[in-house]
Amino acid sequence: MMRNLNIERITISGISLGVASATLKYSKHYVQERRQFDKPLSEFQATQQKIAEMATDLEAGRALTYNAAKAYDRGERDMSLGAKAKLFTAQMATRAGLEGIQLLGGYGYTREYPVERYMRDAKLMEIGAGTNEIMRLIIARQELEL
Amino acid sequence: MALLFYPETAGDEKRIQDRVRAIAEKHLRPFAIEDDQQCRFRRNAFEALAVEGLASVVTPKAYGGLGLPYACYYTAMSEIARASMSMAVTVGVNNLPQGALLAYGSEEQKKKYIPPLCNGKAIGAFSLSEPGSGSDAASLRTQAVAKADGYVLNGTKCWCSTAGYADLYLVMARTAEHKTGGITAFIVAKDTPGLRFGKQESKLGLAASPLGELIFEDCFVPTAQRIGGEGQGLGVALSQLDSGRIVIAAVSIGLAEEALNRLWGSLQNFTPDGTDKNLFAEFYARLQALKSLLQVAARGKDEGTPVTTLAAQLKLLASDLAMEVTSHALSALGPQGVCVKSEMERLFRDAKALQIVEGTNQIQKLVLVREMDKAFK
Repeated sequence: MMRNLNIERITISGISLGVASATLKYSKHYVQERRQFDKPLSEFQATQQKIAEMATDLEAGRALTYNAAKAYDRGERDMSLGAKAKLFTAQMATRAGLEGIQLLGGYGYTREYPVERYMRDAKLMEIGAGTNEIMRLIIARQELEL
Repeated sequence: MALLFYPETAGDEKRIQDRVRAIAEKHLRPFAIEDDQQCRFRRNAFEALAVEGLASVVTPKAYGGLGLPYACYYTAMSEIARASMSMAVTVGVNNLPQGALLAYGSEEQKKKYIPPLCNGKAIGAFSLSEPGSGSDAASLRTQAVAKADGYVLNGTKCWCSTAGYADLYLVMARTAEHKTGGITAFIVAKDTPGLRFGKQESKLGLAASPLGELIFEDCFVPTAQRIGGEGQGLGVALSQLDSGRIVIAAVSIGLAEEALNRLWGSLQNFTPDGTDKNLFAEFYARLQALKSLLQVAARGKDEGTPVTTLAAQLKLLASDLAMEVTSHALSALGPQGVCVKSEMERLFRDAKALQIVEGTNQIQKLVLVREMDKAFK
C-alpha cells in the first residue's frame, strides 16, 4: 500500500507540472499581447520577474518529479521522494496559478480566461492524496528517522 | 478591531461594529454560501446597512451620512467583509461617488445625489476601466462630445462593480485628446436612454457582487450632471483612490481575521495530522501590525494629511496577507476546507480579488518605488 501511495503522490506531481506548465504558457502569451502604458506587459520588469520565477519553479518541480519517478522505477524504497515532489510541485503550481491571475489582472479573475481554473485545480493538488501538512510529516519522519 | 491608539473614537467604532454584526447575522451570513453559488446580489441587505447609515459612515450629516471619523468607516468595512466580501465591495464602491461629489460636486449636485446614496434608496457605482484601459486608466477612450446643454457619450466601460443593479454611475469619459487632462467625470442614472448594460462577468470569487459592462450609445448627459470642470475627470477619479485602497486594506484585514477565526474554530473540533499552528503565528503578528497601521491611515484621512504612500503600503501588505492566510488555512483544513460548507474556499477565492482591485499590487509597488526615490535620494 505504501508503494501505491508513493506512486499516487508522484502522479499528483505530474498533474501539478501540467497545470503549472499550462499556466506559464498562457501567462506568457497574455503578457506579450496585452499593452498598457504604450508597451506590452512583458516589457515591465515586474512582469519579467514573475515569469522568471514561475519558469524556474516549474523547472525545479520537473527535475524533482522525474527524479522521484526514476527512483520508483528502480524500486527504491525511499517514500519521502514522492512526498517531496508532491509537496513542492503542488505548492509551485498554486503559486504559478495565483501569479498567473495576477499577471492577467481583472481578466485573470474571470472565468473567461483559463488561469483561475488552473489555479483552483492546482490548489486541490495541495490537498488530495495527503495535504501539504501530511507530506511535511512524512518527509520530517524520514529525515529525522522518527 | 478594538481601538488602542485613538480612544476618543473607540466608542463609535464599537457601536458601528455591533450594528454591522447584527445586520450581518440577519442579512448576510445566513445567505453567504447560497448567494455565492448562485451569484445573487442581495439588495435588501444593502438597504439594511444603508438605513443604519453604514453605506455612508464618513459622509457629513448635512447630506445624510453619519459624519463619523474614518476609523469608524474602516471598522464597518472590515466587519462587513467578515460576513460577505461581495457586500463589502458594493458598500465600498457606493462610497466612491459620494466622495467624488463631496470633493468636486456643486452644492446643488451634492444635495441632489448624495442623500439617496446614503439612505439606501440608490446604490452608487464607479466606472473608470475599459477593455483596453486597466492599470493605465488615463488611456480610456469612451467619448463625451459637447453639445448644447450637455454631452453625448459613446463607448464601452467594463469591470464596473454593481453594474446593472446600481442606480447612479460616476463615469469617466474623454472630452479632449490630452491623455490625462482630457477626461471629464459625469454622474449618469441607470435608466438614461442610450445607456445599457453588457455582459456580466463570471469570476473566480466575489460572486455575489455583480461586475459588468456599461455600453453608451449616443447617450445624452446634461451639463448639470458633469462633476467638476471639463478635463478634471482623472482628478475626480484619483481623489477616491487613496481611501479606496485603505478600504481594500480594511476588508483584507477583516477577511484574514475571519479566516483565522474559522480555522481555529475548526481545529478545536478536529486537528488533522501534521497541522502546524506555528505557521499562523506570523500571520497573526502581521494582522495586528496592519490593524495599527490602518488606524494611522484613518487618522491621516481625518486630518487631511497625505496618505498616498500609506494607502499603497496598506493595500499591498493587507491583500497579500489575506491571500496567504486563506491559502494556508485551506490546505491546513484538508478535504473539509475545500467543501463549500467550510466557507474557507470562498474566503480564498474572494481574497485573490483584493490583490488585483484598486490598482494591482504591481501598481502599488510602482507607487512605493516612486516614493522611495524621493525618500532615499
